[in-house]
Amino acid sequence: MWAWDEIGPEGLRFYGKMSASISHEVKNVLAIINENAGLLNDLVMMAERGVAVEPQRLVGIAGTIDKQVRRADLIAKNLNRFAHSADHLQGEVDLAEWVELALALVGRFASNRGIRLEFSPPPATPPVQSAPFFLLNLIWLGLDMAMELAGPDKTVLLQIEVAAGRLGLVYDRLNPLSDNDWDFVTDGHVRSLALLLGANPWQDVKSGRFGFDLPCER
Amino acid sequence: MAEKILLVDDEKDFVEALAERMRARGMDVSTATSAPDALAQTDKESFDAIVLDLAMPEMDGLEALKRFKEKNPQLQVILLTGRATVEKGVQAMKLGALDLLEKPADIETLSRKIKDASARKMVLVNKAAEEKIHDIMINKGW
Repeated sequence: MWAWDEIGPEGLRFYGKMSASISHEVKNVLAIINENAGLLNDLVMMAERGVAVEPQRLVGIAGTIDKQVRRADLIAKNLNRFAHSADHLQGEVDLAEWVELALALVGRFASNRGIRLEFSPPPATPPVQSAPFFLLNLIWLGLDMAMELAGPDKTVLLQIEVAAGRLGLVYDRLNPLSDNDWDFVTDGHVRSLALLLGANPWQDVKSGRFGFDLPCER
Repeated sequence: MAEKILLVDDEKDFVEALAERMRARGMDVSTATSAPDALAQTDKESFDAIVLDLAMPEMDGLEALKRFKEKNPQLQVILLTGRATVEKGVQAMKLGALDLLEKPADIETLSRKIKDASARKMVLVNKAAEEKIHDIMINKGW
């Protein structure tokens, strides 16, 4: 039986961590738009004093603002999907889409740690019945651990393995450390989430990989 | 004399726009998009104030602040952050930051803080020079 007092607080921590990071990203975008709006004001004041303002200069500023608006739009879309992942305890999930969403949410954590996250989704993944929010939580726990265990090239490779009756998410290219340094399988939060999701966590210390398998109908 | 400023933020679009606005306000501005680059610039040049982003890849603002202060305790550092928590603010002040401003920052407020930083640095430099002269007078026994 999975323990709510384990996954509940962990889920809230995860939600809080992602929300704080997203708000930080939004603030960065606003800061850039703010400075460029200020720059436009400065140029208007200069023009009023008779200083010539090159049209190309204005085109450049408009381009920067446009780029940041598109960035903010993407952040808002990801935030919206993330927030709605908690709408239902059970639902049909495309694992590849969920991994991509998780990567978009944790991008800043990775860049702050100097880690590159790589993911090439398979051409098609069968849908799985899962708890969408808690699946994202499990993907994050794996990413957090994988970033700590990343090898010398500071890259974590994510792969989806499709097999009959199961779908696996693999965190690859990690440091092949001793058994004591790895705890994906025995970590309390991972175990509770795995029980809730019917997932099977595994790790292969020697080859520097860990992951989890999800049951699927095909 | 123009204040000599180093702006440090991993968001290139932010640094470039803010630098241009500060230059338009008569400041002498250099930029860096990473803490290691900023540290390298302070090895070569002296700045009246450093405006430093708190959250950056490679080395975060607090670690960079610590290194700046170790290298030169007189350096005046103003931190900019997208998420100012009380905990981080206290940590920054303990490490010797002059101030911590939240993004998006008002340019006039930031300019005022930079002028304060510049004046404060001048006081510290003058005080250090006076102490040095005093030491020489005492030790040389003229």
